[in-house]
Amino acid sequence: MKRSISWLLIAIFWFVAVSAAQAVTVASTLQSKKGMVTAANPLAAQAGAEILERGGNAVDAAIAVGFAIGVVAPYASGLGGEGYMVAVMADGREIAIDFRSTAPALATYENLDKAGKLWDVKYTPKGYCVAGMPAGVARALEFANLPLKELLAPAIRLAEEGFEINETFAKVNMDAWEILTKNAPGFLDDGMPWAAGATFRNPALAKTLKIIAEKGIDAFYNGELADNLDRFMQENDGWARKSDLQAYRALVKTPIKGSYRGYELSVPGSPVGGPRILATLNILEHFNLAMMDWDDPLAIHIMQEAMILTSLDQRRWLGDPATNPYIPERGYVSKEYARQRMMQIDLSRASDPALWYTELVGDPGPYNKGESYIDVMLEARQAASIEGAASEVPPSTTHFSVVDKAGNAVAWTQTISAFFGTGNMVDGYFLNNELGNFKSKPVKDSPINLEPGRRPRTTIAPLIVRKDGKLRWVIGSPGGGRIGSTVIEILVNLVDFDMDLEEAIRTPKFSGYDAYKAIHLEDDFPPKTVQFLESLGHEVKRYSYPDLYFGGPNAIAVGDDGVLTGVGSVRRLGGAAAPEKRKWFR
Amino acid sequence: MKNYMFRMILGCALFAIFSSVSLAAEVVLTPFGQSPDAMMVKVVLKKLGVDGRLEKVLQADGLQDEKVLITVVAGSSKGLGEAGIDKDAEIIRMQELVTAAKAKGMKVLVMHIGGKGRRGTLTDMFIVEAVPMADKLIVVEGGDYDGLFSELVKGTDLEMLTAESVRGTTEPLQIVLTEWGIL
Repeated sequence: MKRSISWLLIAIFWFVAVSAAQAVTVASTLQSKKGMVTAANPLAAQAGAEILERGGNAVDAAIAVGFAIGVVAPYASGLGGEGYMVAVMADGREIAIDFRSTAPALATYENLDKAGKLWDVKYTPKGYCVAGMPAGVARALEFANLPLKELLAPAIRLAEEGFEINETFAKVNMDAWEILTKNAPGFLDDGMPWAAGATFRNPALAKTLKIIAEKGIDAFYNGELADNLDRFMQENDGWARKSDLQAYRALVKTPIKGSYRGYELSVPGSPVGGPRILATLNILEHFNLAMMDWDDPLAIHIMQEAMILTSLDQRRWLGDPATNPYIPERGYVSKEYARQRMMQIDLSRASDPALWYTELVGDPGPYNKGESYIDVMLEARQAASIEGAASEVPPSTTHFSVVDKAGNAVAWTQTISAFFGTGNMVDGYFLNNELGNFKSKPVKDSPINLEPGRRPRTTIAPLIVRKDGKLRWVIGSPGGGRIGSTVIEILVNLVDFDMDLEEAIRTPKFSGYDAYKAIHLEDDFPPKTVQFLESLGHEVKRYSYPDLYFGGPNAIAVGDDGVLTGVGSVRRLGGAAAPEKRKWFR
Repeated sequence: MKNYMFRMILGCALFAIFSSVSLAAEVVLTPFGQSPDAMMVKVVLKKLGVDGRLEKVLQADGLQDEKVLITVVAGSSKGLGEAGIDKDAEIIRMQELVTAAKAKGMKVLVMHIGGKGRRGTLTDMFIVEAVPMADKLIVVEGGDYDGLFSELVKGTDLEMLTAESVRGTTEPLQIVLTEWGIL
């Protein structure tokens, strides 16, 4: 009798658990007070909401999304990738986890010279840097409530049972079809790209995730999965070895802080794009953008010029602080340095790209100790110069945001660099090609010279915004060289142009990045705006609207009344998901 | 001996059959907009036993003795950049190519296989130019999500065949190429 009752209780528990797992709401835009997850694919957002439903906190949910998005959008991130997490916990703790990839020991300029140019190896196993995503999860688990096995369950289910391919998956697969026919023909649908509406399963990835669920993250860096990668690399002339995986460490840091018109910002530090967000907003703070509007060409001109200035400085000065003796990040994000930089903006004329890498590069170093711009400028320092052209950054990557009912917030961006990374698959996941983010040839004093163990610099910038200590927005975006501009424009839309989150995301975007000599902009700007920008000397390159080239922010707003608004990316068919019966498990 | 002769004859017959299918370059492909989609159509053709010649920047004087010109329309800024041409030059290239092809009695098949994801300002500009050039049109369904292709063929004799996916284009391709005497 006792035994029967036990079985009955177990059955009831599972019934409730399963019901709860399904009791989430999913939409492209959603409101809830019970927690919110937004991600580049509604299925991944749903995975996170299910974890919230089961009693997980925002970090638990973010980990689950991180695994699930690697299944349903394997072209943008996954086990073979890397990223950065920023979290602000309800108890006041602020956490930044740097799980950026590192160059393998064999990735030296000497070996690169033998292999060809950097571009030649970018889509080969040599392009891979040691993946940090699983190690990032291991560090994030220190702030989570639920066991790893439970957080992996939704991803395993999706990989095993399959899911319907959406238009974004189909388009990206089509774009990368040629490289995949060479590097991962088994991924394709009988040699052809996967079409929207088809069902995609990844049994190899399901098996890999199950190994991690059973044996822990160590299986990836020190166990059979490490052996598999080592074997693949040796058989395919790659550089990474098991010893590189064993040496890899994700780093727990503190986010760097800044402010914009009274809003408090928490972003990741170098070698990613957080400092540039702060530096750009510091410049913009000096302009009364609220007097303008999103399509005012003067506002666009000011923002474009500010973003060019900060990207020039980023390119010259910022890199991996662990392997570079001098990274003047503090000066770069200082309000005083921004005053000097704003003086470079000519309101009546676009800057000349021919002067960008010489006359327009600044020197934030003198501001490292809080000096005033008056003192520094009186010393009339000459601007530094940088060698080598700016490189294009691919539009890959994915970002997701989570806020739980307790008010813990996570902004998490992860990537495999280019869509599908190197195009090579091992154990069901794609290998990143972050090596392309190093200098192709050594440049004196460059912070991104290729060096074993060094983290390359990228543009990712997960962001958490508070006002008077209260959580307001969790923002982030993929989009390579457009990540910074998209995140900055969303924030300006919210703060200066008084838009709601959905409108801020939907509003057409433009690029502001030194890799492009022209302003790249989505088509929905009024013709007169474009005409005026051209009259200022800007070259304009137009894209259709909406275009995933401009990223895919998945963000959350927190209202004064505590209502969470989740908005999935309109440009990548993202989604928002919220738990429904959260209180059952409190 | 008889057996040997039989094998010889059979071998020659098979060679003749296969050479008529795969050796004769009866189909030439070129992208319109310089996306890589034409390469996919080449793979589909191969599955049908047709060895199409693919030339990314095929010019009018580059036509040989082919019977069919297939142009796969989709704009790619990257592709145009790599080919060293701009969108206007690409349109002129295609106009001259199709004029030359028709003068030689060739059939022109226009294909859009990229679905909704391959639509956009640049591609739409090429689509509007391409459709009136076609003798037949094959479109992967999502590509006509807003009725652009349907609108362009409305009131014309142009037949539009559809497929669910790139893989699915095998069927309409087979129909068209059979009708045109290639298969």
